[in-house]
Amino acid sequence: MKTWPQKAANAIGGGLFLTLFIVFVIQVTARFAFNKPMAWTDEAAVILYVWAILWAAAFVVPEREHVVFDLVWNSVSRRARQVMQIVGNLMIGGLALCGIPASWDYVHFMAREGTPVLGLSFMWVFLPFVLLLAALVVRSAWAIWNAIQGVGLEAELRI
Amino acid sequence: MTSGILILVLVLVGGMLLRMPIGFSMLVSGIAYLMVKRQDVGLVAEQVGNGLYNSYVLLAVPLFVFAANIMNAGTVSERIFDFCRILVGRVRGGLAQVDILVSVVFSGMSGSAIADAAGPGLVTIRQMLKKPEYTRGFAGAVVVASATLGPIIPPSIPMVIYALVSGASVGALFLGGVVPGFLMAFLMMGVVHFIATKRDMPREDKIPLREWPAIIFRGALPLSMPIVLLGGIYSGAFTPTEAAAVAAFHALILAAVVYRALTWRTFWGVVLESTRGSAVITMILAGSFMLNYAFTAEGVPQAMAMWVDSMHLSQIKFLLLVNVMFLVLGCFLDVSVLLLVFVPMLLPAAKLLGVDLVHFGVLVVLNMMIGLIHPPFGMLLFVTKALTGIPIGEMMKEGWHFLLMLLLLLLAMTFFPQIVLWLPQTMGYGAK
Repeated sequence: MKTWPQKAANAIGGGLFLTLFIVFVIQVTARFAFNKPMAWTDEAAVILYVWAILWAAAFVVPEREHVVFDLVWNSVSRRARQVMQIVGNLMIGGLALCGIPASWDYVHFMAREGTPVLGLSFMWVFLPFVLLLAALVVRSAWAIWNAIQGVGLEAELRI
Repeated sequence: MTSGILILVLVLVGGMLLRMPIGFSMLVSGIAYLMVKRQDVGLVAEQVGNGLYNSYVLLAVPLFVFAANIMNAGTVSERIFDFCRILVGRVRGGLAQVDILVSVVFSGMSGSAIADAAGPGLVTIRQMLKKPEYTRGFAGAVVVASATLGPIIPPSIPMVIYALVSGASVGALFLGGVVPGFLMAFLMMGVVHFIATKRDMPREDKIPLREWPAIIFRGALPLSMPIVLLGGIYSGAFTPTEAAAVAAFHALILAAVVYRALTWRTFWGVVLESTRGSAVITMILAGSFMLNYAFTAEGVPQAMAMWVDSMHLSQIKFLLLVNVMFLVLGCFLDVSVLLLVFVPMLLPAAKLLGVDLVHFGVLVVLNMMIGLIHPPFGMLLFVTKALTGIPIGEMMKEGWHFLLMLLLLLLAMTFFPQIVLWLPQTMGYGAK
């Protein structure tokens, strides 16, 4: 059973993706059916793309669906996997944490510039990147907590 | 090697060995690099943000993923299967031949090998397993091998990504995949025919003539798509990105309106699945933006080019070396990492030696496909095992014929660039 925050995150991610697709359909229809190319669709599509991808990477994709190299993981003891999980997540989460302040500075700084057609501040375009880093910190902490509890340490064939 | 690069490689390799997601390992290794170099760490946001924002052509990737997922959910594969059964079902080993032909048709609309195995591949495996003459291993091997057609026959997701990395034309790359793709299919059918005759595999039952019109009508609709796509892209009527959207829309109309095989519930499932799939691919891409920034700042591709230059390799020797490198690295790394990390390093050397970028790109993609079907890191083997439960060992025992055939074709394409370049050049690529 999915929790409601996960359902909400999925709904936003899927909604962004679907909107991206609809924007493209509008663009192609406008150009071919009405011979009226629209300037805003290209830009809107790219912004939606940045959002959909970074949002999904941060909040929608479960850890097991990511591309990983698991030859080592599958060939060591459970104890070693526990250590691997803790060290690895300390590294990912720690470095992501280190990256947040400067990334936010950059994103915030970009508020002064707007996109050419829609005039949307670039701060809003790049914001999901900071969200992604924050999500990485939280997810790493959660994974470490689980590893200490001995959860999620099974060796399995990745699909 | 500077301390910056050292820490970058340490974090990257460390993260991968510890089974952290490869995309995230790449991303944070970039952060570590910037910290050691005492550069502004905000560059990571700038590189990834701008990298995604400025890569318009990349938008084709989620849309092609979407198109393939809709087709798979909307029974498009089953329709193509029935259609192909009329065409080649009556020969020996008919189902295996049908599988290859279905893959050819499906490849003309989808650009992903995984989608090919999960969609039409699964449909034909189920049929083959009903007949004792087809062993599990053989059924799996045929499906895995024919799935590699997906990204060779246009459209192609890896080719779109390669175009972004190299600056080569997407249209020319797509056309460059046509002849090799059909050659592959033809050779695979040859291999199947050889085995089928030796083992006396069954022919399919005749389909009554009165059922033909309906089957042909439903099967021919998807066939119109590749022509629209390629024609549209190459004539400049629409961009590859728009073509991807058209493909997805076409698949949606077929699945929802013509075949009435898509409920709202499955549609939403397809949307979520496509969102996740696109995010996974794109995260590796985002990580590679950061990685390539560091490599370029450290002059790695130039150093590589100088090194290759100092060996005084001929074009052929260089390409052979790349092939060997891909085969070896493909045993350890996911093919997307090879494409996004190693190919950018090799491109300056390739340009220096005067290798045609379209030729190089199609070779790289075929190399990637071979990487997908040989163990221990053959993603297609994993997917097929996960979907059908056929053990990887059994598939490999039957699959080596196809692997060998693909390697021979790769060699032929390395020595004879015309196999790749003839069609794009005939259509005006590279004309001065």
